Amino acid sequence: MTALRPSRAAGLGPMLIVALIAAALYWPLMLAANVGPAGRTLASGAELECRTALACASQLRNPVVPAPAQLAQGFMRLSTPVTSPLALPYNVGVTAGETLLGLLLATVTGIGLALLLVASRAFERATLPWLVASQTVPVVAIAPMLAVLLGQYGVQGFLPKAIIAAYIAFFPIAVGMSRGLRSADPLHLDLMRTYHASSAQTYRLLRFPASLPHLFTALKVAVTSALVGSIVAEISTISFSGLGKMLAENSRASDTVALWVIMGYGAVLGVTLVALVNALERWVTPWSRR
Amino acid sequence: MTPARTAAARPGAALLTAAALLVGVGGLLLVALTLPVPGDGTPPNARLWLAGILALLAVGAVGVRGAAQGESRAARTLPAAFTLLLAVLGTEALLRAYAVPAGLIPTPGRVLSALWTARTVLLQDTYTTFVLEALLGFVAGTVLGLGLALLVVRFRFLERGLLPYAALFSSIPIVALAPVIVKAVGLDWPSKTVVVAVTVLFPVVVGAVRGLQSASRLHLDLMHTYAATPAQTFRDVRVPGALPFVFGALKVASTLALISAIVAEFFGTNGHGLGFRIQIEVGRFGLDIVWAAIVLASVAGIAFFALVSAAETRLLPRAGRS
Amino acid sequence: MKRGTIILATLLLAAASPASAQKLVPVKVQLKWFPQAQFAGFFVAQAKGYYKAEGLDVQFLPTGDQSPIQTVATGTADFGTTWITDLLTARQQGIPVVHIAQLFQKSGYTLVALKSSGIKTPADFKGKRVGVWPSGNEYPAVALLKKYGMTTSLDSSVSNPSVQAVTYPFDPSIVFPDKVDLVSAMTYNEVDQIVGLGYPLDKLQIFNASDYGINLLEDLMFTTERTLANRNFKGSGMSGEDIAAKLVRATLKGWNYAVKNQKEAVQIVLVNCGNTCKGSGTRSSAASHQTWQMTEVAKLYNAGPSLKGRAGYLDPATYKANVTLLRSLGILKADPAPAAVTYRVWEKATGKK
Repeated sequence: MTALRPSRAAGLGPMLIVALIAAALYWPLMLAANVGPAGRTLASGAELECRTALACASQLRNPVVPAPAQLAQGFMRLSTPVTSPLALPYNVGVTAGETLLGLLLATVTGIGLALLLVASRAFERATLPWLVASQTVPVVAIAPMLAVLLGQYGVQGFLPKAIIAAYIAFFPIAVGMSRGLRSADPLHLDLMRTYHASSAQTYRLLRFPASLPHLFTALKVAVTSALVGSIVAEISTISFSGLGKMLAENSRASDTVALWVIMGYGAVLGVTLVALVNALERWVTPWSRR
Repeated sequence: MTPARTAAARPGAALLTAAALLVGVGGLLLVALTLPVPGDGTPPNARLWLAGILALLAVGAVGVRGAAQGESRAARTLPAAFTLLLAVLGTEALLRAYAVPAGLIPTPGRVLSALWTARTVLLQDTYTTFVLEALLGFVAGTVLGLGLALLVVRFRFLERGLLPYAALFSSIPIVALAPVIVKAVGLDWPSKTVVVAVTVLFPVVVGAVRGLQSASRLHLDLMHTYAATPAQTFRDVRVPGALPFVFGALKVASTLALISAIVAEFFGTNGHGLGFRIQIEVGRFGLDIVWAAIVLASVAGIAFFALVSAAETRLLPRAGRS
Repeated sequence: MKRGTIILATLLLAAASPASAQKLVPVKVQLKWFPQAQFAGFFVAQAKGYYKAEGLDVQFLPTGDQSPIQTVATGTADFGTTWITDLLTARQQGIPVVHIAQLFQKSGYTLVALKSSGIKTPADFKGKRVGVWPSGNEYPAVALLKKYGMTTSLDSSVSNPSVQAVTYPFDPSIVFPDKVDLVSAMTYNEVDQIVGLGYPLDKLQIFNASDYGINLLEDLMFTTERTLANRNFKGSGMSGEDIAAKLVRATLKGWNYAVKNQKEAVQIVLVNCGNTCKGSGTRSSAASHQTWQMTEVAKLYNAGPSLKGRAGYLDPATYKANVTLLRSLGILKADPAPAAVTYRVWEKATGKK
């Protein structure tokens, strides 16, 4: 991601222009998307407060794409009072917490697996195909079952979501880390051997530092996966709070405007988390700064 | 690393490995068959059986370790196969030992028989989810993504104005997107295809742009001194340099595609698809069919991943492989 | 203001009740759905301190995609509410759950079409698109269709169904009326949501499942055989059966109060729900929707045995009819074990036979 960031001052102008174009296109696109359903609703004999399909397009109860005014209203409705457990800021916090805990679990598991994979060829041959396979299992399907199983042992609330988040986040970390551990310069490795360095020393002095850039690249992928994981887990297991819980509720009440607002918050959270990992990377590996 | 020791070179070790595998797999099979199916007969003494099953698994693991020595074809493939076999048999035995009701966790045996009995419907569902939704969405997202990446590289303005948004969008959790898209596009399969395409799109754009820009100054200067046309430079330097990055993104996208399709199905379907089947059967406690659908989804996912990897091997010069 | 009064009343009641002096037994109850008037009796019992008076500290678990059967079967929750088909199919799959009280005595399941669609009888459903909810909530529709000789894509053994089933996440506005011809609706919830979409009742053709002999009972209370057999429930010194009886007694008291004082009950419900109490769309008010819901739910509660002062009692005749129906439809392969239902808890709770 770092490679993609042009110098900030120069980048802002074009970004603003694109944003303005998108904003200008939004209104006609919104009308185009809503006019069909509005027309059908009118034709089916529904009693609405508007007469023409075009007039109804910006005030449907369940718009396909909400009008800006509806979005603003929804944003205010869902964001206030800021500290309320029913408002989005609090729930974003809960999901962020679950995601970070999940990422931590995933990092520990991922690094542990990477060490095993690098250390033992037998382990790699026996498990790597199934580690890949574990990622093709639809998490949505197993999340409720996993939660039920964990619930049996009293693991409830926060933790099951973090575990499910870790389940999808550990894989990129394990792969990235093992690639990183193997990326140490062969020349240097030879040098260590001639110095009779112990295996632990080789890891500490050579392999770990070499693996850091790979680890951080993996973490950036993993943190987004972990966020998806915790949201999916909130949707499909018992949850008192979180973005996923709000998504499930409002999806069932067909509050499309709320869905859009929640999606916006999810996007902000995702971007923030990636930025957090970036900041951590710059702090841990200052030499890799461009 | 360690000098290649082939099992064949040490007949004693080979014999030991074979014996351990035989005892592990055979023993678990025997245990699984001896124990009653959950629900039939009296539940056995679980603790005792647990100890036995764990011991057999350990013996099997020793065998797997032995089988993984050397560089022969067998040493590469057998360990994984035996690991699966041991895991499946161990699960079967454990579930029987603890008499877990089929409505909570079905034994692998039941899942296999469900795979067979419900095969027509399950294959139809797989077709919908895998071919119509995941594959089509993947192709659409990739083509769009590559096109967008070319534009971004060609026009500096877009790179500054659009690319940051692409990077931004690729960190949006797609689950949040699924209900909105399904609502907008409708309940039939195209809505899921769109969800998949959107999830695939942004990682591909980001990967492809990074790849296209990865060509080293040196190579570009060289082409310049050769008076190569921009088209030639593009074909001979930029594209080969971009491929490893693009394939890296595609591999991630391939597993993402299938999962996104299934997630999207949870937000509304017209009665087809693996996600739909899973949701409906969970409610009916037909967990054997649920797991059968999960197995199919998983197999499709692995096949997809293998396909992309195979394409990578075919198209990439060895050195550039990621 | 009203909220404040209720909370105050709750506090006063709690303080006044002698049971609050001794240690309360923690009990987790898994409701079948998000908080709404469908569970008014539970919330009233909680707010009025009826549970505390019985020595119980009741916590309601919110629902997710998982079935209440699974949370209760694995011990995540101690008790739950669900529909009878759910309970009996779970039983068939070897999950030892037990019916302990029947709250709704009549089915509130309907299929709704627009009058303008020309669908007048269930026989007209053939070749139509029917919207159903997944996760075990589709059985009444399946039963109705099967009764009229139709099959759906819901059945994993049918590859060429005569009715196209559409699943969606519970809100009718996602599919109705442009993507399906018929949509599932509970009398107390989705019917009002459809009205809220702009289709007044006189434009709707409503097929009550119970009018066509599909009176599959809905909200009931259940637990597991293990909980009932427990001699010392969570170290309380009381048996699981005693705890169940206390829970049922307080819950029925709550229900009886709720159906008699519906306005107050609605206020109590509104305190308990987050974003879930509103009807469909963004403009319908939660209060008016829950008032409708309370009225309709009261009709389901005040039917059958409740009219004879036996609220919570599972009428054996209705149960038998349900089982016969489910067997004839092939949803049940055999009669459920007698242990699927116990009357002992209800008898203990009410002192009736």
